[in-house]
Amino acid sequence: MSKRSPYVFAEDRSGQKLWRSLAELEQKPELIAQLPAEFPPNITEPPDGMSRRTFFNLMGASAALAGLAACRSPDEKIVPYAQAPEEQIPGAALYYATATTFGGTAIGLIVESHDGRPTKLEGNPAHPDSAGGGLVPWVQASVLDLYDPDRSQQPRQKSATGDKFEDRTWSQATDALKALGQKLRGQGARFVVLTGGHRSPTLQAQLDALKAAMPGVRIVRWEPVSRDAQREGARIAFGKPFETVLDVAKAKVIVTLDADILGTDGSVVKQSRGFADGRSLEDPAAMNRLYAIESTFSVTGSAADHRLRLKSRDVSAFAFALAAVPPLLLFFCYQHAATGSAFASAQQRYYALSDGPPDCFRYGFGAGIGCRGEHGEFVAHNLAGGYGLVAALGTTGRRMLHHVADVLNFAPLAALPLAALLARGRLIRILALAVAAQIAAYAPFYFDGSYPGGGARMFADALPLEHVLTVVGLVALAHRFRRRLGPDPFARATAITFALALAGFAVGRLGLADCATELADGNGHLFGLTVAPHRDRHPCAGGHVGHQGRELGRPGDGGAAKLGDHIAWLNARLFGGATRLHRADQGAHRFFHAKRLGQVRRDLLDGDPQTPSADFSVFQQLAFDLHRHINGNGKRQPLITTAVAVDLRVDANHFTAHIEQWATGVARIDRNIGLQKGNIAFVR
Amino acid sequence: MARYLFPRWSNKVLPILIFWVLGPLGTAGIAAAVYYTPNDNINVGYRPKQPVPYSHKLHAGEMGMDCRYCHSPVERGAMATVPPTQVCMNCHSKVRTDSVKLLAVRDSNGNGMPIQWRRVHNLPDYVYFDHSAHMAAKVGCVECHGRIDQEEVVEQKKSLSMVFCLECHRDPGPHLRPADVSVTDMEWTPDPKHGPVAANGRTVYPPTHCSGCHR
Repeated sequence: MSKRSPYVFAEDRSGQKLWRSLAELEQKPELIAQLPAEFPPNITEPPDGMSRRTFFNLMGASAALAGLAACRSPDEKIVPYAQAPEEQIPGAALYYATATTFGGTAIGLIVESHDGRPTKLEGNPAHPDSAGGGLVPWVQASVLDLYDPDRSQQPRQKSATGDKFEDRTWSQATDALKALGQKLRGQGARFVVLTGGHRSPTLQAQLDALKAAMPGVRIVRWEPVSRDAQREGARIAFGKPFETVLDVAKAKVIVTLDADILGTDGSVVKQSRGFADGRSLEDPAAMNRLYAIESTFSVTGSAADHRLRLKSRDVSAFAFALAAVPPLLLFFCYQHAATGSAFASAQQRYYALSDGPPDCFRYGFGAGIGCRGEHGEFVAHNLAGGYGLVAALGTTGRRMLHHVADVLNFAPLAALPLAALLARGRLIRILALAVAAQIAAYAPFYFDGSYPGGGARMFADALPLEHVLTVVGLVALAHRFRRRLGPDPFARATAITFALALAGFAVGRLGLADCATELADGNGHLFGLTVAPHRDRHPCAGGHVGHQGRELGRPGDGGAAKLGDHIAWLNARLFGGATRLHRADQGAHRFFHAKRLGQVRRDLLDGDPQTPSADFSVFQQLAFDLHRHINGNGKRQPLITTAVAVDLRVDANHFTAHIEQWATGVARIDRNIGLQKGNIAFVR
Repeated sequence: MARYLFPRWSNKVLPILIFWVLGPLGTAGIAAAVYYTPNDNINVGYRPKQPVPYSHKLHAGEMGMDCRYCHSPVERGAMATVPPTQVCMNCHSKVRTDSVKLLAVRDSNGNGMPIQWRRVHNLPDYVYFDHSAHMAAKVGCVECHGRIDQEEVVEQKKSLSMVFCLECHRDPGPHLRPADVSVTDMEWTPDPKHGPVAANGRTVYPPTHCSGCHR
């Protein structure tokens, strides 16, 4: 065995001097002395109190001795009540029917209570919101609030120094409040009472009394989670802050726009029940389909058949896009039916009226036909009033009649969402000039007694722009006359627009139908150059060109129109629809029934004159209601468009009959209009 | 290096340690355990002094009050329960209003603080027992609690051990009473040939598997 001396590091003086700390570098003597130690003094021991070793010693002994307590059965006490609560059996649960408020809404409950402590909440099966006993998770969890250690146990008051809160008894608190009330009453000072959402008549009466006693008081109601936005939507739509109750069971296609209808928004239990009811396996064909467009992963998204992740700020844009789909489809159907191509212009009839055959034109918008070189005196001769004001007004009237009578011509639906978008923005002031600009632009057209059809053609070609301008202008005017029009100018403007459209139909029915159909007869008479100007005051006098036109599509027998006569049967159909307005029997019934898009299209294609005007108004209402209730700011507003909810508990058949109930009408959408599949509910 | 050898005296260390240290300490430990840990309070004959000298012999025996006047939840709940003070005061607000024995009852009624009775019949926490189930099958009170109508001070008469439970659960018939005999009847003699049929005609199947009681 060799004894080896420990290895000693030789002090290396050859290389660079290394240092381990700034203190060593600075060569502070008091720190140099500590350098050999691995740790500074006292750093392994706590500054005061028990060391780690002592702690473990004591804990070990305690744990070892703890078992001794089990050696003896405890001597138990029985402690009954002095005054027992009624009906209570120790150990047995008691159930109470009661209600709690959540977001200011009362929710019917059954509370399970053990020995005086509520332990479990369930929905009251007798309550309509519970759908047989369910309850929202949030309310289920609210029982824990009772045992929350962070709940304040007693009133607290800011101390005299103002730096902390001190506990007070209730009598102290009421005294302090009384003193405060006296002080404020004397000074007439303003102060604010903040309350949560509540539906307590007692509390409301107290608040009213407070307000009566102190006029300066402001009472603010606010809840972080509430249906306030939804109620505001209902208020905009109906004038009163109704609760929205979605009847999801009736919906076949459900689209949620950032709305968690199965998790947080609305009557969740009822909606979940309805959603499940709509997914019965017994009839897979009738199963509903849920499309969730959302910014966060929600319960609805997890249950959805199709889920689209979308930023919250993009949801509004998506809503607009979605709203534009039905009117665009309808528009394309119209174009297709009129021209044979979905993307060709449907304004041929319009052109025919305004232009006339090549090298010719129609002066006075249907008053007669002139050709190149026949301007001026010729026209003045043929026009009843020459170039006078009466003739101009007549021309304008005829033109506007045509314009108004054609719903699609009157307001291209695709432009409506755009108009709404603009209406909510700042562009509104500038675009208010749109109406004036349009009138100015049309000025030569109105007085086109000597003006070739080129002017009409120009504006017809610029059709979408023209109608966007029209709608925007109406909106702008509505904003300008906001007070006169009421709280929701946009709704009123919409009403006026549709009233004009319906008036146009009515006028068309009264005098325009036959002449228009003949005018538009595609058999060449229109272009036959048979200039035989009629002098009668028939609104469509020019249409009776030699009476060779086939009698087409009298209201009620639109089947007479041939498929080839695009323009002709289109008229027949349109005016036929108007006819139905006046028929009180099954025709009137049809009028109320908005049909599916496919059906509309079929009507278009077979020339059935039964397509009612309601079809169009439905789509326009849809568009309006959607963008009316969706703000353009991209902020998430759960369920704000209550107006477009699935079933608003308004009889859907009260639809077009009452033109002011726009949002009500939308309730029809989910039942009768769809894109292939049937029904759509717009929920946001 | 030389190997280390224990010194010779070290041979005596272990016997001395055992005899003089571990022996006395162990004896003392066992003696302490015997002295300090008798489970009198769960054994037959446990008869603690109660805060109120309530006499079952007087109330239930001589005066013939039904057990369920005070132990009212016995047919509806797991526990028979000691009645609230107000039940005592139903009578004693008129009867014996100046008795010294009832001082604690009057105090409790006055200040709302409960009387702390000492528990006599105490099953371990790992045993599930439900009075109402036994009441429904018409098992008499006397089966477990003995002739409580003859006791001045309540005492544990039956062992309430597992075998005590199982004896009855394995052969419940003789312990079940017919419809015309009250469960509170202390003097009824059971019929040893009675089958396991409850008073309502239903055959009873008392659980004898572990989780019947050790839930």
